[in-house]
Amino acid sequence: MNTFGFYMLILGFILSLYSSTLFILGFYKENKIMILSASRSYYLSIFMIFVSCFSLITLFLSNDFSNIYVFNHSSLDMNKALTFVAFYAGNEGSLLYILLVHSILSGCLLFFSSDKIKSNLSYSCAILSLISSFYIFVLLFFANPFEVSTLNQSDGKGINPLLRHPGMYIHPPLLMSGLASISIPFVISQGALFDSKKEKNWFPILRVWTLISWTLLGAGLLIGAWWAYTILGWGGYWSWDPIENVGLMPWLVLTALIHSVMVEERRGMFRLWNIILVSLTFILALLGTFINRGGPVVSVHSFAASTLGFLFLGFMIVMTSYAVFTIIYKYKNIKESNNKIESYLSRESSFLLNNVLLVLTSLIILWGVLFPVASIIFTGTEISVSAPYFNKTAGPLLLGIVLLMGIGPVLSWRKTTTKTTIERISPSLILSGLFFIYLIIIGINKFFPIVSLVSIFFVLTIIVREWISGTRSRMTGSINIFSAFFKMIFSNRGRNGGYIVHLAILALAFGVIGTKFYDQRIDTNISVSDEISFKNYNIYFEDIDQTITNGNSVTKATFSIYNKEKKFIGKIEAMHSYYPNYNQISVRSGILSNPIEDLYIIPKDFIDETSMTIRIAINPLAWWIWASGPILLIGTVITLWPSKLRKG
Amino acid sequence: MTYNKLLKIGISIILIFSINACFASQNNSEESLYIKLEKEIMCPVCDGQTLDQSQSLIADDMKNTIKKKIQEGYNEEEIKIYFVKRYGKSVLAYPTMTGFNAIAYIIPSISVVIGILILGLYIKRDKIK
Repeated sequence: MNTFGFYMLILGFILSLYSSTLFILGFYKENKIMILSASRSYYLSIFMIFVSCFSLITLFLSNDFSNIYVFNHSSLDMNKALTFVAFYAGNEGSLLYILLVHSILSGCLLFFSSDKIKSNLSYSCAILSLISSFYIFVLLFFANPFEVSTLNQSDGKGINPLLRHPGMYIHPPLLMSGLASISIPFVISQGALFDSKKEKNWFPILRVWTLISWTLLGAGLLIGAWWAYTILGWGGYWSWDPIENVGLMPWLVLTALIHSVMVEERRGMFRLWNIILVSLTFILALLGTFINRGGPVVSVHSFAASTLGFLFLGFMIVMTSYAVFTIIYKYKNIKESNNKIESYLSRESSFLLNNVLLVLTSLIILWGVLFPVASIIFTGTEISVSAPYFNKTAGPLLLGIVLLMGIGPVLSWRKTTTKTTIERISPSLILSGLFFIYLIIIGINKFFPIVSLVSIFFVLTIIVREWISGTRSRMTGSINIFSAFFKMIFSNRGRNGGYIVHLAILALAFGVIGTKFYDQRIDTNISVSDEISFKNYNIYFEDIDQTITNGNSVTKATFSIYNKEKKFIGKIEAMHSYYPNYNQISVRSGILSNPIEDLYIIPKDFIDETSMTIRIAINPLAWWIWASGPILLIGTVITLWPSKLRKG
Repeated sequence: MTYNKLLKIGISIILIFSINACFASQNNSEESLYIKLEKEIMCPVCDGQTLDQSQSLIADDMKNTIKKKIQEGYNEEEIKIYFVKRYGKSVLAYPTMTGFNAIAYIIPSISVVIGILILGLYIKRDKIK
């Protein structure tokens, strides 16, 4: 199986090199047969990659510990599902996984793209197959997952304990898919640049693929946050760690892109700007891969760390120069419409401001990620750039973006007068004023939270008001309120899907404000059958239960939670595991969650058989952060619903 | 017109309350200082983790030191200086606003100003055409 998988990779390598050459030749000579041959060999190389992945998974499932990669990431005590996903738990396997996703998505692009651009797609596909070739090259010569050891091992080391969590099934695959998928919008933009017929058909496809990448990456980030919240045991979900940041940066630029593509769709403007944004996203995604695989910064995500940094740095530099050169030499192929921005108060202007803020936020985060390196180079002193820095610099910009979500949608295309703008937003302004007073009365007086909460409320009222009036106008005759509402939503899927996504962002922001500014915590020692009172809760310590399986010790502490009136609310189980093979502790916090606040118990130290140290934390509004995920998905699905595609 | 009037009334109410809010007392208990410091000081041996994220022994030790120092009456600045002396500048989770490190803050602020300025000028130029 090892040799088989390896040979499949070699075949895939040859085929993808062959297809990229033929794609380019076919493109320049406008030779249909060459392109056909290139497409077929590309499909075939995708199949080879698929088979190669399948071989690696088979090796995992059959516990073949003669394979070094399997030995390092699997063991007999892991369940089947975990063994299956362990294939992307390390450097080599995750590269193979990224290659697989890249190939499948490339195949989809080649297969599903409309006939109008198919003749011009060959240039894009040439780049896609070159990217595939690069990944296979790295796998073959530097990170071979099929390497065999001569030692006869009966059991493997097992997956890193921090990865033994349901999040492992979704977070890494989604995030890696998100980062890998960004090559698709990038090559589409390249196709547009090299299209001498100056077609406009590229942009609807660009929009769809951008949304797909955006959703994958966004969902990956959110699930990563949820994972951190439930397993890393510090009560937080986002630590501005470099690896988190390199996932967030392309996502922010993609967000900008989704908005500016709408301007293209509506008024034919910003075409070149869109292409610049796609290229920037792509470069940021490559930077992410580089930092992930052995970049110059320290991070808690060292699962896939390797010594391959230099390869990915080289690849990033080559692709960046390439992107810059093609934009400089080929921008004339991008035909802009003659439309101009007519007013500061117009949808176009607000989208541009949104773009500027999002790109700036992304670049400022990049600056923060790279600053420790700059400090070492220029002053020789090591410094840390972590959460407090990013909260201070990126925080206000993100707030500005939230506020813009309220103002942007009420502005019309082309121009709006100041008077109509004020008329449109004044009911919301008045309501927000009342809400502000309410917040002061209930004792919220810190500057940043109060501004944020009022902004969130403002945006919410704008959306709700628009929906109410839309629903009302459809409630004629026998149509009831629900069907009127759904009719209204589906009458303009792009717009209302967008609003739903905005609601998700509001929920996210709401949760972030609650947890960042109003969290409370105490550290305390507690013994079995002790009762501790913290805020609105009485926490009764039921028992400690320690089990040792395969040398790993798992200690479970059970608490019963009562409210102030001594009414039972729920049980919390917190776990603390020690893995001697890894010399690593893995903590699973116990959480009792409701929309108002989470009661969060972190087991810290076990003093003896009946007593332990715990941290009890109250994380207000954390529930809303996780609620934003499904809302976001619903919104994107509504926006992407296929009839829209056919129109494009 | 009614909108404008309501708007004016609304804004005045908000102003009054904002002034009120500015003078409202900030809760600066020992507890909140501890939580703040825990988030602003790094664990020196963990990769990129602040004290509140880390489960390591040294982090626990440092947290206890912070608690002790707060009880002994040290203020925020003094506690930070204490740790910087022991572990170097990288023990702070953010670059200080002094010397070379000030660039960490200057560049973002300047780029926001420049970015918005360019945007304004761009729209202005477009409008005239």
